[in-house]
Amino acid sequence: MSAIVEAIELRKVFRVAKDRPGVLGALRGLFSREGREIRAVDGISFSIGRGEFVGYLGPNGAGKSTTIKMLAGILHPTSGEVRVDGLSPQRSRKEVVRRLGVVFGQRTQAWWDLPVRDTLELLAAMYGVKPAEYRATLKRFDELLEIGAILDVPVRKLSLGQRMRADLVAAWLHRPPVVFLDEPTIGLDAVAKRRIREFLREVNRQEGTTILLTTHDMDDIEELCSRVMVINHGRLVYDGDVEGMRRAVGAPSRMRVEFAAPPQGPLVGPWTAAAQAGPAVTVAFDRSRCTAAEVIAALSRYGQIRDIYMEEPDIEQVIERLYGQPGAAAGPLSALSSGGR
Amino acid sequence: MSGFMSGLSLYLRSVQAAMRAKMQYKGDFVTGLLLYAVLSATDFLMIAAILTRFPRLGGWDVYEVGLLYGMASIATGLYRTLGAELHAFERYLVRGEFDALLLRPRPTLLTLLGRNVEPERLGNALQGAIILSLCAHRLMETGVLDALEVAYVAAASLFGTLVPFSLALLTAAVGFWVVRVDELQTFVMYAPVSASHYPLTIYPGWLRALLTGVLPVGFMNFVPVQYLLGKGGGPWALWLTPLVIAGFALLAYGFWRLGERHYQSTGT
Amino acid sequence: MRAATGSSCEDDAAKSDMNAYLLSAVKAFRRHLQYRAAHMVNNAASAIFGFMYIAIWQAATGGHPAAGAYGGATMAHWVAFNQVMLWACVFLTRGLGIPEAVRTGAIALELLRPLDFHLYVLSRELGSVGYNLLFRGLPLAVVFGIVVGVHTPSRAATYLWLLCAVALSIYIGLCLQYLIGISAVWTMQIRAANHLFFTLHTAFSGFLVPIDLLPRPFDTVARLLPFAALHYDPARIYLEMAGAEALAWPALWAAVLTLACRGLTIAARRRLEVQGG
Repeated sequence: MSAIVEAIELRKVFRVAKDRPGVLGALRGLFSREGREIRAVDGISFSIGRGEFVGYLGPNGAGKSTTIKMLAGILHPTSGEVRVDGLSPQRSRKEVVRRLGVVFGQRTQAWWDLPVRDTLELLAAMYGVKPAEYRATLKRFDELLEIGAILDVPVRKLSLGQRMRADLVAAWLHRPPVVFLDEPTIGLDAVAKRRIREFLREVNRQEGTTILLTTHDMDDIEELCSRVMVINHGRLVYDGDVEGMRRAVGAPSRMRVEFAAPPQGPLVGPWTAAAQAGPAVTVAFDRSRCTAAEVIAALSRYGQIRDIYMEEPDIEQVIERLYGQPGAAAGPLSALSSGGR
Repeated sequence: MSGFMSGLSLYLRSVQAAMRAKMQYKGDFVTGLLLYAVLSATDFLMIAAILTRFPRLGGWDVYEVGLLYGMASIATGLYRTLGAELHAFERYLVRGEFDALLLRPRPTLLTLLGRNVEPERLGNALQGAIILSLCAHRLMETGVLDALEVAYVAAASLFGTLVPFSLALLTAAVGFWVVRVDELQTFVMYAPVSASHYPLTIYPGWLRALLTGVLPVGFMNFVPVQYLLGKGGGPWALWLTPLVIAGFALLAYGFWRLGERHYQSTGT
Repeated sequence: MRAATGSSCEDDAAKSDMNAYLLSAVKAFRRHLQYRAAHMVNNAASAIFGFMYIAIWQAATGGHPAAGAYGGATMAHWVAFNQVMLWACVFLTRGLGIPEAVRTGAIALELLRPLDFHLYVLSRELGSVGYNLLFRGLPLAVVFGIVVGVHTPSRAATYLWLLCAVALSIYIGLCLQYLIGISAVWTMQIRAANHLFFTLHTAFSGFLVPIDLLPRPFDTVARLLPFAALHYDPARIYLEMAGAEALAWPALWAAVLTLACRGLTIAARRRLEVQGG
């Protein structure tokens, strides 16, 4: 598998000047070296192969969007190298963006007052897409996203989900080998989310588009990504598959069980913590040590089970643990154990 | 060259699309056009008011000053029509919208300009053209100007639009360092352009130097017109004018590129 | 006893109202304070405009008999005075911020507050006016003072009339902007209204061309409109070309505009109640 996106020891340091608003303030800022440095991205290396579907995770301010901006040539790295299809976006911005599609979740690239079709035609001209290719692409995307129905509607009249579909077509119009997606499902309802995910899976599989996806939605990651990279404080703290990430962290899965009658006595089993409120019991357990079935078996000794709810650790929790932020990771668990006593 | 031509044709297509977007509200366009025409003519009415009371302004009569005014109005009217996004550039930096321009495989300036036009601002240019024609007609009748000279004035009015364009480009480029530039616009654009409605010879030396040497609005109208009306200068004014304007435009574009590179290395 | 308590309650309410108005003015002042460096650049532009106008008048009047009372030196003071006044009565927040509130829907809340909306918006803007006078008007006055000298009225009464004229000018300027702003409840064409305002101001306020120098029908029109109260009347009083009698017409306009503002506020409230915001 040959690499299509590469980052080598990528670093971006911002200098934040002391707050001096306005023109004169900024002029003064030019001459003084006051201020502090922020290492937004602090020595990141990775290589993404052709056709991979990679999730890029991290809390807000961790350096996600700075990385994406450097990959796309919007920002130049302080040090280190980026290669997209063998080219440096810093040296050949226009060549690189021809090979890229980019969707910024909530910000549409389309002309607000014009029908979607006009934006698409203009983009086709901008990227030199031949008329025949353009028609073929539209037809193909009509099958996948049912874009035909909204082609002649002015963008300002589209729903959020429809607008995202239009933006996706716009990003794929010139058949870029690489697409960066930033929160493509944010704010959408469940149906729209599912449709977008299906589309992304299709184009990744059939067109072989390499996709780098940043999101806060764990379902996006679990349903789509074969690989996850996690960034925090400017550093890559994990690079591997989703299961591996969960295992590496050992984040507890949680199970809530409702008994027919409140169970008696201290609850002993393979779990790491248990809390009881009347007939409802919540236990936390480590999937790398025992299975859900074992937990249910152990619990059933305390009475007749009426109902079971599973709570997998969500991505935020997993990430919090990954960074070992005190408090944050301990929060839900300590609450559990103190409630159990 | 083919790169330039395809860039140009793409720009024209964007302008067409932007026009179409505007024409969705056709009534607004016509009202806007007339409104801008009538309202911006007030500036000339004030000049005319002064010149009915006092027949001359530094040795220039109302038709001669009208020539200056008309040229400046055409140039700025065209700029406000085609340079709408440049004029509102602060927004791109404040909201981070400039990033999206860097994602297109074209020079950012062309992508920017193609995003929006304000055709109703043509009213400003229209009003300037009417005043220019009336004054030029009168000056031809009195034998001050001949047809060829009027043709030069007309061409210079159109070419002169590069002056406000370049001033706007400089201002916008400063934004790559300081972000907030709307206040700067008053200094770099509004004040010099208003000053160019009058013969520069009435101003104190330092102001005249500023308006020809630093923010060269003088070349938009005064420098060639002064010579054509036989009020000073020499034939050099006629060929120097386009050279200075073109040079200034190149300088402004160079500064814009520099700012863009600064933006990419600091991420304002 | 009962009546006494009631009135002291009202006193308290009135006092806290006063505080609310004052506070909104102080807040507006502070908000501007953050940008004072950028405003200095604008001051430079404003000064250049002033020098330009002065040069125009010098060139036009230069020894011309038609100048009458408006000689070159007088016009220099005229221009300087009015460049400073621009920041007090004309360069205000567009529509006093009301169109913005209409766009975001915050207008419904603001109208519901237990404050007089007209007074509230005006006092908020007064904070900006205070800021403008201090950080834009004063530096400009200093620059013009150095270059063309400061005109000091000779009669003591002039200072009193000038104070009244400036106060009326600011109040009328605020009311006109208020009318532009509140019209946003009915139309989104605020840009046009604003543009119209600046045009009428350019033509009929006398800030550049004293209105008695305007050609025939225009001078009469200008005299009747409220724009003369913004620049022409205060400048005439300042330069002692007119006395207290020049305050009558502005005072009448202030009363008329107050009624108009309050009437439109009631209408706006009714419209928003019908629409439910």
